[in-house]
Amino acid sequence: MRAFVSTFKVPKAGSTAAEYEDASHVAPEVGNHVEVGDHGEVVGPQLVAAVADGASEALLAGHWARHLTASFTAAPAGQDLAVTILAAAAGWDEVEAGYRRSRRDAGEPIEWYEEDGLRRGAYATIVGVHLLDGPSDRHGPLLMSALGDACLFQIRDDDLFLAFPIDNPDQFGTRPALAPSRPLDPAKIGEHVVALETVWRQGDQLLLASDALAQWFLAQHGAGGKPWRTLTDLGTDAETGGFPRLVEGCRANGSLKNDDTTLLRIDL
Amino acid sequence: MVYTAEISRSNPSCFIFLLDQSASMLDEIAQGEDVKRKADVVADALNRLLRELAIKCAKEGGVRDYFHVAVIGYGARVGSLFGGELSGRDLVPLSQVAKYPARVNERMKKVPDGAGGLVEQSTKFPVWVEPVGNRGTPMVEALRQATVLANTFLATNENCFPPVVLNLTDGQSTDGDPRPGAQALRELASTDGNVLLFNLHVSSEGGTPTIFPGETTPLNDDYARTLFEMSSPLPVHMRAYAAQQGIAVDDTSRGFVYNADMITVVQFLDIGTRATDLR
Repeated sequence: MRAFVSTFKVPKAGSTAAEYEDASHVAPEVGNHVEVGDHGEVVGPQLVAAVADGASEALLAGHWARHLTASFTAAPAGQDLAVTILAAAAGWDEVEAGYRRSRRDAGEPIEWYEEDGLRRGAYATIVGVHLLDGPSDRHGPLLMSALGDACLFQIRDDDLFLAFPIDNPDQFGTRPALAPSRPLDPAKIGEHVVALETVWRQGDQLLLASDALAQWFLAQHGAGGKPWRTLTDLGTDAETGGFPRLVEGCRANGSLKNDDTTLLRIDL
Repeated sequence: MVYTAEISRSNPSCFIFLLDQSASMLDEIAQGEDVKRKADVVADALNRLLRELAIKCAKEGGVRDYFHVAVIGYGARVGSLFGGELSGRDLVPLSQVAKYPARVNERMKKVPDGAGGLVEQSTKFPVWVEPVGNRGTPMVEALRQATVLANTFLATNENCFPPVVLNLTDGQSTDGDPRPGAQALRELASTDGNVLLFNLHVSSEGGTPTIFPGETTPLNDDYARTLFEMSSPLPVHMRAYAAQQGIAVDDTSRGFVYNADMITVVQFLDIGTRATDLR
């Protein structure tokens, strides 16, 4: 398959780039650590991508979101997302220990108000996708899975072909299901994971988005619009800086919630 | 819709705590098997509320100034209870409140052990105010000072989530009827709604602990009834949050708590996606 992948990120207004707590990751194939970067072409038998959104009230939420997306792109296609999350959680103690060390080395001890949050662990939503070559290089298996309200939209023939796992803009809130870095009840994760196996075709567009943009997208579509056209126009030579401008404008007119905003676009 | 404004560093809100420190607060009440003075109960409640607020707003870079906080005691005098580095200050950014407690205690706290049970863990509990009981109860003056502070905050934060005033008291005002002052305070507003006044009533009279009663809920005595009438109706989102926590509420429920925990008041506030475990 041949795919062009673009990633766009804008932190919440009022927050710095360092405080951005969404994450995204793309890999051309499992275990291949070649970084695709924010805009790149991928040619090969497989493409894996994920977007995660760290919970605002959690400590180290951004660290967990990055750890989750990296775990997803390192996992084999078809692996249950619950298994992937638990494997990521198994590595969390080391991530936290590394963070505590860095604070100690910087002469910035952990404060009393951080202890509870660090002990509880971090939380994030995640949506991920594997695209595999089929009998021809024009279509093949598309495997997607999610926990929470980060979404994937499949666009075909200038129409919204599939919205996953949410298809209604009224279903977003401040209490989505979240993947925990210290699961109290591992069995619960499987109860909240949603998975779907379908097909990609050449000419499709896949859009992975964290919740604010996903809700905007579904609201625009529900009102009769074709928001994928707006998102397709981003990142071309003619539209440098288009995504931040789009986000700023939509926040200003109230159509987009002020939150970290991430789009990972796959053009096939 | 009201009470939906974003709470952020560029659009902060404020908490004003009023703490009854009169002599009558030295009377004891029974809490289960424990016997404590009312002054201990309210000081502990206030310290817990501040702790909860700081933890809620804590990120890797420090506590975010989503709120400015004032703590006003009323008893022998009426004024700020902040000590140490914060002495004499009225509205203080939350990051500084978190940085400068009077002291930090270690306590044992029960936390989930990951296997369905609870385990005791040493946890840090900061202390900002100590229990005090002395002289009368100038609640009218306390409400007047809260009104001045809320007005000052609203003058430069007109689009904020409305200020929340929490009055922790045994209800026995000695400088006049507090109801007009409460009304004046609740009439202040941002573009997002009216100032919220909630009352935590601690009483030696016994009776059923009550959280967010409605108009038909029996209340223990006249002081409780007065404080109930002074309390703001619960905003819709707060009612919904309380219901999710298993608290019985209806559309006449007010922000009044009798001999019970008020931590819900802090927990209901929305600063973004909540960090909750899967159910």
